Amino acid sequence: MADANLHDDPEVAGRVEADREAMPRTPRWVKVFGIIAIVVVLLFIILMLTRGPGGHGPGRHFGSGSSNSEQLRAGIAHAYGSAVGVCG
Amino acid sequence: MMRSGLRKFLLTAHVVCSVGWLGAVVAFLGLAVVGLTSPDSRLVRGTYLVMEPTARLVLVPLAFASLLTGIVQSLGTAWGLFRHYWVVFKLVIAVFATIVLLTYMGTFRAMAGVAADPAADLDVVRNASPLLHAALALLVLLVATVLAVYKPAGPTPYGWRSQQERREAVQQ
Repeated sequence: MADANLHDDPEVAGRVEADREAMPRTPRWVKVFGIIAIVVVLLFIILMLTRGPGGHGPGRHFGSGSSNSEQLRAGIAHAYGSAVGVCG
Repeated sequence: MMRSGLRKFLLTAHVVCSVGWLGAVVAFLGLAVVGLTSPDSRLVRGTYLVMEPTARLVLVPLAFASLLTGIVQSLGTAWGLFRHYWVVFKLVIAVFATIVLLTYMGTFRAMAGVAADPAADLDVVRNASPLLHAALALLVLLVATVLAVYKPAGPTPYGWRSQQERREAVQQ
């Protein structure tokens, strides 16, 4: 009943109609995804520019045979060995 | 709007290409782990040698097929290409991943060149870059898959305007 009374008021009815017609706000997930996408694309562009034309090359992220690569390889080999040990 | 039969055919094609792309990336992840961990030098060299042709013959065609079927599918349905944020994000993800893949083809060639050189030490042949790229590609493609399945709500301003226009046209 209260609603019916409210909608009888032309001002309230107009405002309700305006709200319905108003463009919905951008959802939060879109804002979060948008920020992540912009950061990733900017990172990619910066990497491309700083690494020079030709962009991605071998060892751009980890030098071949470098300590980083060695450490990562050792870590993966250890994890792989543990997994095989668990499964076997 | 497309007829139901054609729409379902294109949807099937899009799902097959996209899932195939995802599966191929998982296979590359496996290859990358083998390349980094195997003690067998022939297997390690073979892994980096096989990456380039496999990427050229499997990853690149699947990436383009997924992109193309996705665009055709969206244009032929009520979802549209720019009407809903989830479709726009999927498009951005597919375009970005395809560009990175095409850029990375040079790296595959370079790694194959090093692996083919018998004088190159095994530690020089091994490279963690494919592991990093395959893991990131998998993450990005999983996000696209989640978007396609959940279809989170949110029309774009263009989508909302066209929705209003259609509603007004029906009312008149």
